[in-house]
Amino acid sequence: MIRSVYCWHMARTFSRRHGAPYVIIDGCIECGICERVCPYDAIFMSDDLEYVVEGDKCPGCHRCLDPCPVDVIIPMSDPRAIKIRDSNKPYVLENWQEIIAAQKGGAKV
Amino acid sequence: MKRFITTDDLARDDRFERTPVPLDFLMAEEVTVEQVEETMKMLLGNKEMIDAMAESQAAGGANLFKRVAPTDAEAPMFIKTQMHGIFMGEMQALEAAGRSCWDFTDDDQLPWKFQLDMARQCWDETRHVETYSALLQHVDAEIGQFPENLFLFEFGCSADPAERVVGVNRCLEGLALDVFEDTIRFGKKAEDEVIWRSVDYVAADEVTHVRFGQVWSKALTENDPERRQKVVNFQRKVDRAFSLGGLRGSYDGANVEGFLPIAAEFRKLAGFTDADIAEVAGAGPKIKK
Repeated sequence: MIRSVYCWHMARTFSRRHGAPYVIIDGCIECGICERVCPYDAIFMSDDLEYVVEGDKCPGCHRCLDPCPVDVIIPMSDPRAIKIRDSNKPYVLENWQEIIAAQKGGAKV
Repeated sequence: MKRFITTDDLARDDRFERTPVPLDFLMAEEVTVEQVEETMKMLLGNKEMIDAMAESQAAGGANLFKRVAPTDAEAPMFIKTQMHGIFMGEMQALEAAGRSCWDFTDDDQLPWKFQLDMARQCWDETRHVETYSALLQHVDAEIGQFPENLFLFEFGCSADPAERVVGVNRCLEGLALDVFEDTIRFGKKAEDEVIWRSVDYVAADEVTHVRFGQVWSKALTENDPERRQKVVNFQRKVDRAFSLGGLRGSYDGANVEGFLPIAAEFRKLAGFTDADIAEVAGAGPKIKK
């Protein structure tokens, strides 16, 4: 519990520095609704033909979460963030590996 | 204090319940009437009101596209829903203005007057929250009676102060002017002086907030055409989302009895030109037949 709260704070702290608290995880059906509803143009299709959340543009407004029909846009603080898609990794946090490792219950951040 | 807080972090006690608003239809180029109707129901978030309107619609009375009159059977529920929606909007406007005050404190390019204007807005919004809290009692409703959606706040999260004032001041507060005009009309028709005078009093402040949006969004992008274009693109997006499915007209236009007409006179006081108003009126998606 303490660790998860600690990691949550870490994720929030770093995401504030970078801008993006959200990522897209496995299960995305590429429907494109998130791209359409994002007011800040922070979601787009990458060269891998997968949707990604761009860290520098996303202010964490939450707008994309409800419209997503398969609930695969999640905060970095969510334990399911371990299922982050490879395409999203370059756009999120510099130290996402450490945060996710800590969420798995392994490494100390 | 944390910057750029998300909607999850907004302070609410256990009286408040949130409702999701998918709203993807409203950002689309084209929508069907059924899609708009569905989204309106989500925005209302009030089952009693939706059921009352469905009954009324079946009997040929008011519906989502025709405003409720004080003599309609669902009028008491309508005014409770309306007041509660405005109350929540004032809360979110207060939070948004407070964030605009704080989030850009290390921006050297931002004039001090920007922060003063945002601080003034915060002070106004706190008064409005108090006013609408009293108005909720006046219409026999209570805080938390209906679910809250965070649709307005979500468009006021940009990390660019010029976009922030577009989202919060020009668009959110602009929409508030339209809702206020509508509520004043309702209050006058109902001969309820408490409602229409109180709302008119609050609207006077909102005009200045919308003006902040008009002035600052232009001033902050004055010598930067690229940034200006980005802000205009953002503004069009928010206008489309706030067009509520393209069903809005202007009080001096054709859609006077339609769903939430644009308060043209209030907006002109806030610095909107006729072209600006026409742009807001035409911002919605096309309705597919």
